[in-house]
Amino acid sequence: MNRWFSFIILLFLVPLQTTWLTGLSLDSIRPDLGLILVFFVGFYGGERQGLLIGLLAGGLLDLFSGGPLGSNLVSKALLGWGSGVLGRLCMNVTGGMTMIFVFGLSLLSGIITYLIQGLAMETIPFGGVFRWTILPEALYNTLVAAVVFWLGLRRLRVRTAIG
Amino acid sequence: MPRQIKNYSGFIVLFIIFMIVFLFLFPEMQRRPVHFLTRPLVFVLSEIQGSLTGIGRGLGNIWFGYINLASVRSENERLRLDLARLRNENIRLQEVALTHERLGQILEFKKEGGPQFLLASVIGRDPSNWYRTVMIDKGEKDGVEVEMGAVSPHGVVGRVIKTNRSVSQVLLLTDRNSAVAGRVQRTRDEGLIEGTERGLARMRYLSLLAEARAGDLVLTSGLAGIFPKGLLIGTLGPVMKEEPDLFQQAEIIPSMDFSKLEEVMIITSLDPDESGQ
Repeated sequence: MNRWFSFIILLFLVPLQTTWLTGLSLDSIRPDLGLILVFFVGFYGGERQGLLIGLLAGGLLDLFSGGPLGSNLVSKALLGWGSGVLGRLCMNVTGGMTMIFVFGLSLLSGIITYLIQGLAMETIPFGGVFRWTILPEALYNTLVAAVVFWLGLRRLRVRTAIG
Repeated sequence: MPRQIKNYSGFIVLFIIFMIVFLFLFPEMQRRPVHFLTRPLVFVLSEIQGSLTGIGRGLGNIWFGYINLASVRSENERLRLDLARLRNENIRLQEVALTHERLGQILEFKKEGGPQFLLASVIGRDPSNWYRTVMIDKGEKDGVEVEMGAVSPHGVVGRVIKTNRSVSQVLLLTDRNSAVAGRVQRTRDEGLIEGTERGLARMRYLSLLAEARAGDLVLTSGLAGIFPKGLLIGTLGPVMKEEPDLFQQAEIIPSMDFSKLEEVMIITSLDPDESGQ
């Protein structure tokens, strides 16, 4: 991905996530644009790009989050790196498979965030967090990632193939 | 050998980064200020955040204007233009009237006496679903400090947890990390109001002898020194016994819809005589 394009997306990621995206809340749950961005960059750009964008996006999100400094940084960086590994191992995956990856990595990211919160703050019951935060967020992320995938990336790939 | 090092360089960098980050995650490190790193970034991003909030509100007005306009298709061009202009004007005036109403309520609240307040606008919300916080447009240069209380004319909002030069972050009452000392108005029973996983609130540690019941109003007890005594927190839901039956607890219906919060008042001093802003 073009570096300037990535920089601009990153610069607007946090303000968008904290302002306009609140209008998309379903029962107080919003999609995590940072996670979706990091997944796609890692999946199509490789481990190194995924890791880098994960670190940057996570670090910026941490500055505006009420949680411990570093929780988004670690979870997004791991997610970016993991997406890169998945993208390298799985060639020619279908859209459905990609969405399963988004869902799985969203759940994993949620569990990592939970563990980090337990390390830095007090431990909270996992059942309630999984039911009311991790699972609905993963489902919502998958839905938004599917829209992004079908609207944007597929068109880009078709254009690249024709070109 | 150099080739082997090159092969593992990615993992080595990754390992070093995570070691540094994990060090930062420990509570002792969290308490140390890293303002020199975060201040410039927060400043730039909060400026964009403020602009986007303004644009969003403006676009919302235009969008509602457009929706209204769609219902007058049969009118001629001049009348349509006039109507659109008047409708937009009307929406703008309604917005002004609503703002005046809100500010009027705040003014009334301030006139009632009590603590010194600082009015702030909400410019953003927490980027994650894990925490319930709002970003406000007042910071250290305006006198905002960590652990100051935030209220609205409808009741308790939360407390300040992070400050920057021009913006601050307020932890809402409904966040699971929030805890406010409260009292049931009718029975005078005391308890602790905590946020829940679902973004609601509950009153815990109510005595087994407490006679509180659903519908009772819950107010601040003033014990923690952040909020004055007697501010509305919410209404009590059904009271249940806690495991292992040492206390009772009850859900609380907050006194306001936190998703519609636009302005908050930061309590700069609990002393009414101290000169505030």
